[in-house]
Amino acid sequence: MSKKYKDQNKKTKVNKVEKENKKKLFSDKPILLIAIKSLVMVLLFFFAILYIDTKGYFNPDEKNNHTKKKWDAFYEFTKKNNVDVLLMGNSHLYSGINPKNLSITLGVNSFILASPGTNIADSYYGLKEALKRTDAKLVVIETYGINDFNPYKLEGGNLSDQLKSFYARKNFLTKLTSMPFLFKSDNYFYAWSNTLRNHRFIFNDTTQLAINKKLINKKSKEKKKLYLGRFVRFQKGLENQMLVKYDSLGSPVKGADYSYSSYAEKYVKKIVDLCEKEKIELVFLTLPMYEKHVSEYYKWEKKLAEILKKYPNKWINMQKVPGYNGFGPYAFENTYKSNQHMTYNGSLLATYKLADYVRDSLNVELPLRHTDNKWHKLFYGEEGYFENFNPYENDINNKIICTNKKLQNITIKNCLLLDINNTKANKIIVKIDKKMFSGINYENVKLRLLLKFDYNGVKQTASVDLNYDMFHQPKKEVIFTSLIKPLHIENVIDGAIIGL
Amino acid sequence: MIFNSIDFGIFFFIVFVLYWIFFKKNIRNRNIFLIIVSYFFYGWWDWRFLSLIIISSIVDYIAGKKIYENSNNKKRKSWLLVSLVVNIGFLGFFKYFNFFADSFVDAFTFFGTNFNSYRMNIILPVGISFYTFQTLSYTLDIYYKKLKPNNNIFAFFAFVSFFPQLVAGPIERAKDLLPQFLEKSRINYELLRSGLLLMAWGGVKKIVIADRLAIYVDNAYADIDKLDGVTTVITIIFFTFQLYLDFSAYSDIAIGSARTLGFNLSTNFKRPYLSTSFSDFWKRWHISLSSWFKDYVYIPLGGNRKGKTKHIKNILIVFVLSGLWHGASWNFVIWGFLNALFILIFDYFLGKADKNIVKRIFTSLFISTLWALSLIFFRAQTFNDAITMFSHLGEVNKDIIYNFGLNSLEFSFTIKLLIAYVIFEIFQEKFEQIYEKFISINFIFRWAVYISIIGIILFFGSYGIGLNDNNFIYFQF
Repeated sequence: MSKKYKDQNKKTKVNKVEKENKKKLFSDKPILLIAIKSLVMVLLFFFAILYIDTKGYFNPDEKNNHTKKKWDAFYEFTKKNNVDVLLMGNSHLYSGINPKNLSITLGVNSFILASPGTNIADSYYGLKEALKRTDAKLVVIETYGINDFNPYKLEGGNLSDQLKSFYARKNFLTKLTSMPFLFKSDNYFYAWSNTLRNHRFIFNDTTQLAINKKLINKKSKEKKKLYLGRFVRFQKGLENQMLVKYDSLGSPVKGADYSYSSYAEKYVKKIVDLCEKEKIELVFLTLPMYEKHVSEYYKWEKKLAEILKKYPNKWINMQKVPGYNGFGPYAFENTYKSNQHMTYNGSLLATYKLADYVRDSLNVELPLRHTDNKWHKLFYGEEGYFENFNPYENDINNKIICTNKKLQNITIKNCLLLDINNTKANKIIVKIDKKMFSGINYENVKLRLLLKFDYNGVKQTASVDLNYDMFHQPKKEVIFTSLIKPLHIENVIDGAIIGL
Repeated sequence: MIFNSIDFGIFFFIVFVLYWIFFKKNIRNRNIFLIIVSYFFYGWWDWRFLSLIIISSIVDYIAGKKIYENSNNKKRKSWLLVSLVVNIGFLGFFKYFNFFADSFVDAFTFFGTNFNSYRMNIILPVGISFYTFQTLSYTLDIYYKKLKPNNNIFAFFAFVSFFPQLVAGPIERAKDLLPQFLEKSRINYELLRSGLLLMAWGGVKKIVIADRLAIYVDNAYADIDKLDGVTTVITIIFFTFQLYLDFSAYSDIAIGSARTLGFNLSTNFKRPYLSTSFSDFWKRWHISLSSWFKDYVYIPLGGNRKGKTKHIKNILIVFVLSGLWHGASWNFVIWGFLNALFILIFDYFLGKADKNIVKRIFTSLFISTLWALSLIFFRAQTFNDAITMFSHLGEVNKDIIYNFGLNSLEFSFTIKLLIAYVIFEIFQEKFEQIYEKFISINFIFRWAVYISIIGIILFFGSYGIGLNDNNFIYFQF
């Protein structure tokens, strides 16, 4: 027998003995063996579910998942920019405040991280996560989430919303530590995995499954627009039929019914403490519902004040504070349901009021970003930009028609002609210094302009009446605006304030 | 804490690890550990009712000793009475007080005397019917001289409170389970594997099938007026399977989890819907309860040894008591009474099915149908609801099959699941050594089965937000 063969034979024998020893080792340690096998099984399913989750086969309808959209946009935005003003809350906030207008008028970067149907606990954990990504100077907490919630008793839509909000956040550790305080244990897996949460799509939403499958194969080529957490949900204000209901049926919301839980109290304190620790100015904000929508609001206010008065932070109560009760029916969702939100116009009104408050009543040092070209580039042409700033000189779509033009009874600061992506109309904006109206109520007047324009090579003139824009209220200017046919306007020949 | 919850998953994992690392060698410490974790398990639901288990345990531990030590029959009886009064007293108060109070008032009202009904706001402690019967079997066995009392108090307390079977059985006999608390726990790979597999199988039965059936059944019983003939039949069939799969799943998980800790619990279900007679059915359905009633009620009453009339009377007593054990309502009494009638009629007139396959199928179907009909009284909230269910049987209505929580896709999946399950049970009935065959097959096939079981639970399980809470049905008893 050759030496080589002998060696090989020896090796095989050794291997056999080793294998048998191994077998014995495991048979002596059945728990270890079962633990290893169980671990393999757990890992197998963990990675399978992780893969399916990452692919998004069981994602909810992404079009309507604006919570995820907000957080994704926030992570994207904070890669290159700092958020100076952070607003936290629920649907009342993202339909009641316009972050682009707020940013532009204050000259800062603001962002709304509000999730529908969620409560103050969600705001706290959202804030905690957000502050890891950004160095906010001011945090605004909308108070509608301070209510009678119990995270361990959340059901249906509220639970679903809170799960979506949790899922949208990315910091693993913050999420893990917050999970026991946001959900009861039955919901832990749902919080982490869309696959487990929505596995029933297999039976009850095959359409969504098909949409998700398509989305997986198709990468979005859409150009990313600036998104700061706003969600325009309601355009139409309260209509007469609804207003009549208030008179015949009374208010659907009773201030006396308002209550809050110990959880709400606890999380308000946590937010106050967190902001104090991070040296961030914190302010509470109550966005309004229509005045007739809530009866005996003072009872609600009193109870809410029981919590908020414990802290030195300011409370901007637009439901009640004099001067803030000027929200007309146009500012509110046309509904008799208890949960009434603000309309787009209402939100503009609230936004400028909030901006005024921040400027005038808070002692917070916000960065002056409107001196920064990069910031202008970021917001250029966004809603509210031209109401606050002029177009660039080389902008061929948006133009300054005239500057500091003296008219019959007023001097206009700027007249702008804006392209609003509408083939049938352009927008004309006129800015007049507020000082021009000292002693005059400009809310009920009109501005009549005589415009010179080019129509098929023929120079012509026409007059146009501009209305006071009550929804855009820059600090130093009054805005008049109107839609006009897309004409090549060359100049403002004359004009006057009428209806004085 | 219910078996199909994350809480239980975490609890069991921790208990399992601590148990085998720290407590496998010392019996006393192991039993103390089991008492603590069992009390924790029970207290998770409502810690206040732990006192009932503790009192029951103390009373029966002392009563057992006293019965054994005394040769005087009177004293023996008195100690047995103490045990019965305490245990049945707890059960009677928490489970039956309102029922008897209402029935008392109804009876007098019927005869023209009006009383004001006095009801108490009583919560029924989970599992009281189960652990009361288990601990009673201890004193009764000692009284009948079938068992010697146990001198190890920790072992006895662990026996009464052993968490896998504490709240919904199987109702173990002291002679079977108690000695296991006096020995060291032994474990081997096979016990662990079969225990875990049984738990996973219980999970499939509960989460994938029973809870899915529950959606339909709950919706149907919540809106009985909307049912027609077809949907009533579907509801009846679905509930028949739901009850079986729900309860047998609990038993599987209980037996499986106990096995992984080195304990053997008794079989509670043995394919009841394939029974060959009604008496056979009761040897296959909730075996631990049926045998309890047989040993401690039926046989002491004389069983079938004292003539036909006495036999009939004994059967009626046992089944009406069994009905009442399930719940304090006249519906359960009727359900028990009907089952007594079935067993009597079946035993006397039809006899047992022989090996003729056609007769066997017919018999099993016949038994299951009668059982299913009796379950209407078991499931309906009130007597009127049960009668309404029966009245719908003859109606033909529009197409409303999918109006009770399951759409066409899920409904057809449910039907396929049920067919598959019945085929599996027939297979199991024919080849009893199915598990032994399974573990001897190729590794890849076995793992494919393991992965399928877990995959089916995760992806096809009826769980999620907006679904009813998925408690086990027998928790309410």
